[in-house]
Amino acid sequence: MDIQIKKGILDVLVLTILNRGNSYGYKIIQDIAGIIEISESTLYPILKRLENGSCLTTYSAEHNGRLRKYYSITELGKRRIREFLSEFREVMTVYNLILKESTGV
Amino acid sequence: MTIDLFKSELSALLSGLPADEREKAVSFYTECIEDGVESGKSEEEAVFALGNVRDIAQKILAETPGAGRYGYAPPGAAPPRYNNGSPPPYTGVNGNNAGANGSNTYNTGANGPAGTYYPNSAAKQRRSDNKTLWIILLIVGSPLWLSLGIGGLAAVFGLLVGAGAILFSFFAVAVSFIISFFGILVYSLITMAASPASSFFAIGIGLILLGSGILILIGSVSLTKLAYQGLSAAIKALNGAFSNRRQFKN
Repeated sequence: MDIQIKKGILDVLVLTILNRGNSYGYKIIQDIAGIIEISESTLYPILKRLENGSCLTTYSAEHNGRLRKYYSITELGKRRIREFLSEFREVMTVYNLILKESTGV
Repeated sequence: MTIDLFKSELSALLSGLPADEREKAVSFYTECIEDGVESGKSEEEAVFALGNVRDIAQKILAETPGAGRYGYAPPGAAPPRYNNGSPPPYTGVNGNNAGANGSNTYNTGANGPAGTYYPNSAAKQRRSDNKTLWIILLIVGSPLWLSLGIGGLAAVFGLLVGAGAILFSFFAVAVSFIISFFGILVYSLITMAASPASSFFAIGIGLILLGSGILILIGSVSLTKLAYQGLSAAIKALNGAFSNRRQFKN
């Protein structure tokens, strides 16, 4: 997939996963892995970007004698999902047109 | 590779980042390894699953705006530091980083507050290298650009002087026409009694000269005005270009 498109989609995908509930790095990858291939080194910049954009907040909690960093979606993050949905409606219209034209149906 | 080795290698590779950024990145990957181990992988497997340490570091650096051509130094940015006992940074990172930064345009736009990012020393290093290269090129190329520059200036100067001379010649022609009218008038008045016909003829010629002299004078005055306006506009434009560049540099 085109890297720019993928970046934008993955940001929102991560937010969507977090919208289910707070989660941590390893778990997010596990959850996403079933949908699209993602590596730790792809996820890290996304989380950083989303945090810097105030789409999520972080907190640390103890787990098995060590600290684990949890990510939590913010209102801004939820708004980002809604924006994505409305933006992609247009994209899907274009997609359907391209699909129709290229399959000749 | 063990967790500890992974940690020290990654933090060495990220030595260009400020301490807190580096710490965040290292702890993220460490946590992933620990969670991997907890879910049943061996430490070796869990580290291996992350992939090449250099690729990871490269990606982090590439995703840090300011590490590329936007290399600016916020006040108080921590200087690069190497942890005691960590292996020396790989020299290959700078080169890889440079390549990865090319695809960095998207992030800078999409990212939040720019102030939270820090440059890395590799980028700064590259910039100062560039500067040195430019200075060397400037000195080595001086026989070429100096002569070209002087030639160009001389050509412009020559053109300006030539244009001035043409304008001056127009004025000279106009003035001489006007003066010759008066000369002819005086001469004709003196010889009027002797040969009135040729005197009147001469006065007629003189009037034609006077008329064309005045026309040429008017023409050259407006031409001079035009040339002056053109010249001042050109100087203004040049000035503007230079000050723009200066602003850009800062």
